[in-house]
Amino acid sequence: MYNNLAGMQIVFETKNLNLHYDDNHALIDIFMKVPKNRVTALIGPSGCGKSTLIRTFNRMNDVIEGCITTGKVIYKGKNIFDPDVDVMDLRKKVGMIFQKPNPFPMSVYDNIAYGPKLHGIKNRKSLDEIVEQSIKQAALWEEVKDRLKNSAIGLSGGQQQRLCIARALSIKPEVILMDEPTSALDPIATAKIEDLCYELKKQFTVIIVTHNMQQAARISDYTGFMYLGKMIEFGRTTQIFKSPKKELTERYITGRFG
Amino acid sequence: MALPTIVSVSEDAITAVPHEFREASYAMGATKWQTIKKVVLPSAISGITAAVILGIGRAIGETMVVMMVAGSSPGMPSLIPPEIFEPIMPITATIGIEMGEAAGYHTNALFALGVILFVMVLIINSTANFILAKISEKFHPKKKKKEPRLKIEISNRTKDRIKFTVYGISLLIIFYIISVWVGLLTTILLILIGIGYRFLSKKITAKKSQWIAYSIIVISAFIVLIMLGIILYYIIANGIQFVDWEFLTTYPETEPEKFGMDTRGGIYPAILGTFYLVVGAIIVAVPIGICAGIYLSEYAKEGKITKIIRTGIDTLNATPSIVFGLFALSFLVLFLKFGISLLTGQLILGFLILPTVIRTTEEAVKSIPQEFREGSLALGATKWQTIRKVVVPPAMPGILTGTILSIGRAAGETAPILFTAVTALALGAPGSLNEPVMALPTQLYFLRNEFHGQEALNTAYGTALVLLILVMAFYLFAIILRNHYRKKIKW
Repeated sequence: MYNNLAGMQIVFETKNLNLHYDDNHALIDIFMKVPKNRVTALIGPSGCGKSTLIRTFNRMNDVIEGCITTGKVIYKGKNIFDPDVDVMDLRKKVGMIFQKPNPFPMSVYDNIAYGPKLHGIKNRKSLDEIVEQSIKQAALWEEVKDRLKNSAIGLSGGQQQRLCIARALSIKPEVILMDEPTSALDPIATAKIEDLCYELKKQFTVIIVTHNMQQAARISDYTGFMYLGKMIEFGRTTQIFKSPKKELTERYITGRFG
Repeated sequence: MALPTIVSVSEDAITAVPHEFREASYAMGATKWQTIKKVVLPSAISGITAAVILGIGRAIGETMVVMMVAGSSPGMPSLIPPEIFEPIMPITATIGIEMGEAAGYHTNALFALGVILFVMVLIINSTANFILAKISEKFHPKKKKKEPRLKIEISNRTKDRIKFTVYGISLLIIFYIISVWVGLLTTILLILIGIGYRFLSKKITAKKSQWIAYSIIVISAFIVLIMLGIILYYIIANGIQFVDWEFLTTYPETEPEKFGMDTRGGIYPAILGTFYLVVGAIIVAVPIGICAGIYLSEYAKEGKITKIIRTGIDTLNATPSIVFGLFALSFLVLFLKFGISLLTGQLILGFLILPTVIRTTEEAVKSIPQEFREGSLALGATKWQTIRKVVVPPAMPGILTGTILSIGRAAGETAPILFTAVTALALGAPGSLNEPVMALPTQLYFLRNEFHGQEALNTAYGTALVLLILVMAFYLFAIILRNHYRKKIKW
């Protein structure tokens, strides 16, 4: 399963990862490596566990009651489930973009400044700089530079999602998790986010969950196909889409799923 | 008396239902009424039931109104099914009237009455809670049901029979109560209307039923407005000519040798006293209440303990204020030796409004979308940072409603402070925490019940108006604050 990762720096490695919601076995024996400065896509039908998997990388599943995780997720040589790991610190390094844009009910500026303020930056000037830089990185600056003080709720869906990306970037993470970031957006906004992914991987590692196979093919370097909680196949995107090794993968990719 | 609570809390619960639900329903060709009935009300049902429970609690525990209006007959009610136009003597009024004169065994008996009243409220409240749990289970089915440890096999036939008997008995009881209340003929007429509706309802089109429902809703709204109008008009018309600057800023005079059973003078110390009492109650209740509400919705894990806490809060909320008065008298005044004092009054009013603050805070915080929390946590915020910066600010309008309601309640409450914090006559402005004070609502009661004279009656009307204006001013201020927050925070 680890083929084609030779020579790559690895950011995340899962070992025998299992996850239960009450009596639902949502992730089953996941072994997976996530290469640095690449876009890794997770695809699969609804309910296959891809969102659950991505949410283990920053331990967002902790929020859900009755959720039990076993196995290891190695990040920088350390299992993120070790008791001495500071979850807040982990989430600072591993940012997340959600399916539905979720800007806070504050101004555009305050949305971006929220993260840096949390982590102790109080200086007005450096905050201004971070806000501007993050919004620029998220390719949103031209559209919002004149209304930084306006409520973020007034932005369009695509703008809101890029704002959320800017918000995630504001705390200078190393990894960005995207949980179906474009599923609520129109094609133009989607295209903008996809372009952004391409830019982002120069500096960050991106893991993206998507329903849209074309999207995975377009933007990702590596793809994992999941089905019923299992990682069926993982490899270079070109390989997965052109010559999948497993029959299940091929059937899913060609749309003959049954 | 229960009406305003029910209206206000229900409205909040209904507004909190996401707009998407409504749109989804309209998109399927539902009428507005169908949408309300099938989508909005079920989603808001927990809030509405909470509102009704709060309202019931308020009605049962009401002491002062019945003391002045209904409870003027100290004897036993003549008939077991009481006639509605005859004075009766509810427990609350009994305690309220007799506590002032009681001593020895009499006091103990009154405390026993308090216990009985408390148990009654407990039973009603648990019933209401049970119904609430049933309803909410229907709309939010649990994922899995635990197998009961002891399985009693009951055949479906027996079950049906039991159900039939229970329904039959409850129907008979309801029939009996209604027929005693409005007369047999009217009851039969009501039942006929009910049956007729049942038969006709199949023939009524969606549009017509929408029309009927609207009429009922509009009529209800008008009844509320008209009642409010009548009350306001009556108090203002009777009180306005007696309220002037002098009335507000002078001390009352009640020397019996000069005025007999009458009084003269203003109500300055009572205004000050009420102000101190309310401010004290806010200081006691609001911080603790908000923290407890946040704890319940954000930190506490759902389970037996939260259930017990919630039941406890609801029971406290439904607990008649006169029982709070008894508690204050026995615990604060006598046991802790605070005496009849401003401090006792502030504490007990604080305890009294605590449940409302907790419950409304909890509801408000719960209605904040989960995405906000996740967005914040994903940025590496701690739970506390998330709550403080992302959850609480948008929940503020809801929290303020709770505070508004409770402040209004604290300002107008009489029963708990009657024997624990106030005097009929203060010689000066309240000087320290351990002196008794005068308060507007109790003053109203004293003026009406202890004095008999035209001047006293006039002063009472004036006091009522001032109390009304004061409470309205509290509300107005809080509503402005709330609207301000609403404008600032939108999602």
